[in-house]
Amino acid sequence: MTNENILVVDDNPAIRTFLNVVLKANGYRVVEAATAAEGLKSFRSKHPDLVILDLGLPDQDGLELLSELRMQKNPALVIILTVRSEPEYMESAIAKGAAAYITKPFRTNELLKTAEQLLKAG
Amino acid sequence: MQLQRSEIPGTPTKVMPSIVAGCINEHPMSGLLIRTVRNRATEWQVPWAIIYVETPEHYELSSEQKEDIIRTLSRAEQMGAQVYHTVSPSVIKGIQEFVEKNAVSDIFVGTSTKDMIPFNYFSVFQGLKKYSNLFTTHPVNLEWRSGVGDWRRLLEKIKSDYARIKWRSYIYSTAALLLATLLGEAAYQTAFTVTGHHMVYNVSLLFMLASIMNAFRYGLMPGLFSGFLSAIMINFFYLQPRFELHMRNSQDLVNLGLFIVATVMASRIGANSYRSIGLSKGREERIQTLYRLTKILVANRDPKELHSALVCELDNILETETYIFLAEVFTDTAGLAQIQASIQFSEDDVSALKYCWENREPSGIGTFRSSSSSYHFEPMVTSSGIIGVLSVKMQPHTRDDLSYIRFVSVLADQSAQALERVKLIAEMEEARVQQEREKLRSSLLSSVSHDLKTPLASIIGSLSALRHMEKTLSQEARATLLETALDEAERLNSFITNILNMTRLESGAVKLRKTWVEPDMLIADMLKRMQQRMANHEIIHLTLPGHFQVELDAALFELLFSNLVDNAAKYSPSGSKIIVSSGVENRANGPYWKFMVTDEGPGIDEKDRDRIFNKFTRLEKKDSQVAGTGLGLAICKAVAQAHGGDISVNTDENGKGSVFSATLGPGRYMENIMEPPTKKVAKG
Repeated sequence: MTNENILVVDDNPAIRTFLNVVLKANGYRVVEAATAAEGLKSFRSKHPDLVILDLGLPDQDGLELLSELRMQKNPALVIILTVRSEPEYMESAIAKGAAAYITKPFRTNELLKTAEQLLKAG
Repeated sequence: MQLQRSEIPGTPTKVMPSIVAGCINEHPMSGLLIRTVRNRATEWQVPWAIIYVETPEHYELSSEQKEDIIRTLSRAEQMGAQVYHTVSPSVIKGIQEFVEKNAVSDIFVGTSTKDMIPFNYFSVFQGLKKYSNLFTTHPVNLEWRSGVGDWRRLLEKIKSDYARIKWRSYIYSTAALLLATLLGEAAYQTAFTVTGHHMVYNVSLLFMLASIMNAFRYGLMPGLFSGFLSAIMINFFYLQPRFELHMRNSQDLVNLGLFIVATVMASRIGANSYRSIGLSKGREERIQTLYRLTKILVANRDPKELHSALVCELDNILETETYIFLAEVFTDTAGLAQIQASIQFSEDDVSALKYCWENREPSGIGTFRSSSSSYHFEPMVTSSGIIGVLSVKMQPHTRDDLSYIRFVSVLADQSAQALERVKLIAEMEEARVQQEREKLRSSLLSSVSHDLKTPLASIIGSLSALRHMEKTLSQEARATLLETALDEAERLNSFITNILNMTRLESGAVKLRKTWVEPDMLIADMLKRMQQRMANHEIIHLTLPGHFQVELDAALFELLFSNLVDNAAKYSPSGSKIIVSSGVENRANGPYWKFMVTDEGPGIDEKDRDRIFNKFTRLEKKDSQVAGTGLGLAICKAVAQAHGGDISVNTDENGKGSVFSATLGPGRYMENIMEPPTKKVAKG
């Protein structure tokens, strides 16, 4: 069992709950954040190995938070998990250093597989 | 090299383009004059004009002659002439004025052998010759071509002249002279008794007075008739020998001659001034109506309104039935048939109307096309083409009124321009609305897809985890996932229900089940039920003094109320107060119940206060943090409106927090028990 730390930044409580359950069941430790500010704070204190990031955050756009996360001392691996399916968002996110871009709704195993591969490679 | 001023490059000399003009009258061969002028203009490559000078003699013309003039002018216009119609005491004066205002180099006038008699006072051609320093006058002989059938035309003219003699005016004139005779006889006898002399001159003054009055009252011909009849009567009754037509004294013949000349001149002056008063009055009226029309044209911005306002005003101005037929009448195959049925157009009228539309030329009365129609049709042409046809039912007195038809043409132009302008404005507005709608549609779509996909993400995610990770998930985890999926499915359901409610409310498909209730009691009930949801806020309910009832659909009202309170709770910090208060607002149709929900949230910018009630509007991205649908306030608005009320938002007195107020009604007072507002605290 791995014991990697994953930070979930999403304003939707249902998504957070569900990801928490699923990720924990797969042996990850999970930190939740509902806003960008909270997310940045948790990132600095908990040093997660992977961030699952929503783009539509209440206080700041997810893409901006992505840039900030990538500028930290130990830049995080970031998976973008969002309803925005327009290609320009995906391109922008990849350009800003996102490791993967998954649109909602999604299959859980798809997300888990991506996370596992990224963590193994990283 | 010396440059002349006009040769300096960049300073073009100003050259007024000169025009050639023809002056027509009622002569049946006026068409020939027009063609001559046109040919000369084409040859010289200059613009050309046709002028008609309306002199007092115009009123002596027969209806047919007046209509002929109108037709000739309209034909000239169709042939490309600029057509002018001026009013002047004499033809020569009218032409001179016209030339002064326009750069006319050549004038063509019709002539006959009479014009070749030297020093003919009545010849326009000769009269114009003295202006040879201003323009050249060309004679166009209209006489020799008319040769054959001239006597027949003359006969017809006499016949028609005879037909339109107003016998009544001659009878009245004769009666007036008889009266003068009676008075004259009395004066004659009295003078003889007093002085012993026969005073013929007093009597002749009485006759002259009667003749002049006749001229003023009935026009030139009855005036002249009175003059000559007076002379005969004076001779017969008063000159020696009395009661005989020959004279003893040669001095009497001279006096009688002078009497006739004086009467004739007075008659002419009288007749002219009588007409010119009528003329200037008519002109003044038309200027006034044009002014009024312009005001209407500017005031109306909606094409349909303008159309009906125009028709109504034209009816008044032209004092007859008028219609404006727009393009759709002609493009729709059933259009013309419908008109024929509803307005009782004859076949002639319809074919004239069609002709006017298809050829962009006036038709009906006053033109060469379908002049048997009882209407005059004027095309309404703008820079972008013909947009309709103005139809004017011609009354007997306007059929031969030249200035009336010119006036109709001016009105048609003005109306066309106004309609075109309004149409353009409407089209621009339509394009703008269309663009807005398109923008709204795409933002709605993305908003809806966001709102549908978010719960679906949890549902699909949870269910797919349950399916594929059956073994790795603990019992507890499975339960959590199932619950999440279920909750989100329910949220999705309520979202869809909201959209449906919204749509049904908007389309009016919801039948209100209204009952009379005391709204504060309803609110208290609802607050009790919401207690759990509102656990993080302090809710204060200020009730209305007295017993006030309002008729409402309780279920729909709950939708409105809970949405407003939920909204307040969502956007204000936890632990803050939400105040629900009510009051009565007196409106024209009775007292309305007004209730307010005040929160301590951030408030809403003034610019957003209307927008916020639109569907799927969320003011900021952070709004998505609260599990809203962007429909809540739109539903509130729809419910309020379904109850004959409205809803608005303001900021509270301290400028902090929002006050949402909804007004419903009209309501009624049950009793006049005045109670101070009570404060009930529902605290979670």
